[in-house]
Amino acid sequence: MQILIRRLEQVGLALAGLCICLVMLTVSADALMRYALHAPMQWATDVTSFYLLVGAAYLAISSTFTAGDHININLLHQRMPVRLRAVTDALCALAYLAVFALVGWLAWETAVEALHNQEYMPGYIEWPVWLSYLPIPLGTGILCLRLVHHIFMLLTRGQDPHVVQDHGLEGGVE
Amino acid sequence: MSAAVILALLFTLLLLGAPIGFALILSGFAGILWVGGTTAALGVLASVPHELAGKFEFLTIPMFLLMAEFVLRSGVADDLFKVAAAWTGRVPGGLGMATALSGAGFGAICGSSTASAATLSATSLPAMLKHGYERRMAAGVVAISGTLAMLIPPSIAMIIYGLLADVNIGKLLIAGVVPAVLVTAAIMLTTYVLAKRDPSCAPLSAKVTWGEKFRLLRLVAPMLVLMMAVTGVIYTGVATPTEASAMGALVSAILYFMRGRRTWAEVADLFGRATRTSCMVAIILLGAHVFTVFFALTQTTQSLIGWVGALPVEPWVIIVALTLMYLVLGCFLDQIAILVLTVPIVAPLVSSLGFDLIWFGVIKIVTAELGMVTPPLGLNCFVVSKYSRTPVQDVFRGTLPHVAAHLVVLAVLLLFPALSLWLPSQMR
Repeated sequence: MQILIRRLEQVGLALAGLCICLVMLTVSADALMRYALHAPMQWATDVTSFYLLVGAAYLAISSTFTAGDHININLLHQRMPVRLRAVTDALCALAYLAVFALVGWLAWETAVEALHNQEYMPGYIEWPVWLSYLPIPLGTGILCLRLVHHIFMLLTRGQDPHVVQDHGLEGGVE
Repeated sequence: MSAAVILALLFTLLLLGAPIGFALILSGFAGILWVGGTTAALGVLASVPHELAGKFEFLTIPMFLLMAEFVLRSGVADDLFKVAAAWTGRVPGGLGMATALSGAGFGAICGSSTASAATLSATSLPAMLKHGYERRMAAGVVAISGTLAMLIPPSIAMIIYGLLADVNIGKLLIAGVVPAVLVTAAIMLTTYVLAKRDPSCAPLSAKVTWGEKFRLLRLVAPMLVLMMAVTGVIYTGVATPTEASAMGALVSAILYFMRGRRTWAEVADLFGRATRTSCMVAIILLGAHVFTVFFALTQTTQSLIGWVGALPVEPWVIIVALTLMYLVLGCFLDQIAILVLTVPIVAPLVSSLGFDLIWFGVIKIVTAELGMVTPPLGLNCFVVSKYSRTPVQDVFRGTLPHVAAHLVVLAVLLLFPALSLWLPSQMR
């Protein structure tokens, strides 16, 4: 189970990284074409905001959680007794699981409905709507699998060695 | 009532160590469910995640984070200190001044304060110690100089403020330039005064010939190219901040690949770090948005604005009180947490009092800089302590004179908003 989730997280992170790389290349190329050649790439903004940014934001959500990079306030957390911390962490993870499962399910429903109705984004090129929503259920789906495994580990072993608890000194963006 | 209960839920989750973004989404969703019912709550969860990620301005965050990673590993910063030290080394406290200058230079091409402190710890700190600088003084100037990256464009913290307060990102970034010059000057002046008072704690460096000084200037070229690719194009209006951020990332990537042989593993690691941090910011902004919807439903922000507006005090008293609140919070909380938890409420309040949100953004970021070096949780001091193997309390003591100087600059910026607002007003 852990190996499967780890693989899915790696794929999610790689795809999100690819999205960021493509954002860099697309937006730069558009800016250069616009200012140097007066020939903007009309589709660049749509592709970036409809697909690439959504992919960049959600596909890596689980690997970010596993790496402990979702910043938290660890003043009290680090000082709690290990057993109590495992229980509160499991309860919190259960609540995240509920809310992210809901986020993923709602986005999945929207994507399926858009696919069924053949919906397209208005703009220079008619891009399919469903594909724009897809990264949300994919990213949150992997996170939900990770959270189920995390809860299981916390409740059975009292800790989860696969998830980093508190981010390192350079983990923030300040 | 509902606002109080949901706030209590939010803070309980935060105290239990919940990731800030997760805690905001959870408590915001619970609040909307309570106040607006199931339809409203599901409607928000169905629409906000997609709308927010697709917001075009958001792309400045991953782009500047990527740029920071490329710059950090390209070795550009090592050269900056060499050049600055050659020019200021013979002045009392010269190497400390060179640290401030290279901190400002690094800040102009990298938006992360901790990355800047880590880089300066690896470059200028060993050089100062080698020249006989007192460890405490050297560590102090490194920790404070690192914070300049927050104020000088491209600043990631400033963009997060801009997205939360809904202000023009380009003008906001440019507003940081003059205050950053003042802060750099304050660090240099403080170092000079400290070195004058006790010359033994900051010995002079060896003489460098004028020819050598000018020859070294060519090392600044990569930094100037990057600075022009970002701040230059934003200021001149040649490109939007979003375009400038992508160009900055691309130019820094080119510099990174030009300056050495790179392995796939290193490039993958670099992209992985930038991607995970972008994801973290995206989830935090999503949480802040969900929570703001809850506050809007309960009219909490409007009630607070009404209550503050009815207080029998001048508006500037409120601004001073908010500044003091930020200074105190900065001692205990992560700066991104402070931004996310306060700006959605404070920004409408400040705006209703008739103050400029761009100016207030600069004030907020200067308080954040102080929060990075004040005990017990001044992150930059921990970074410097870790890299230099100096006890953290010594680093805190070393930054103390700089904190005092920083407070003076903060007061000046509060008194003269034009210092922050003049440059953005000149933009096309």
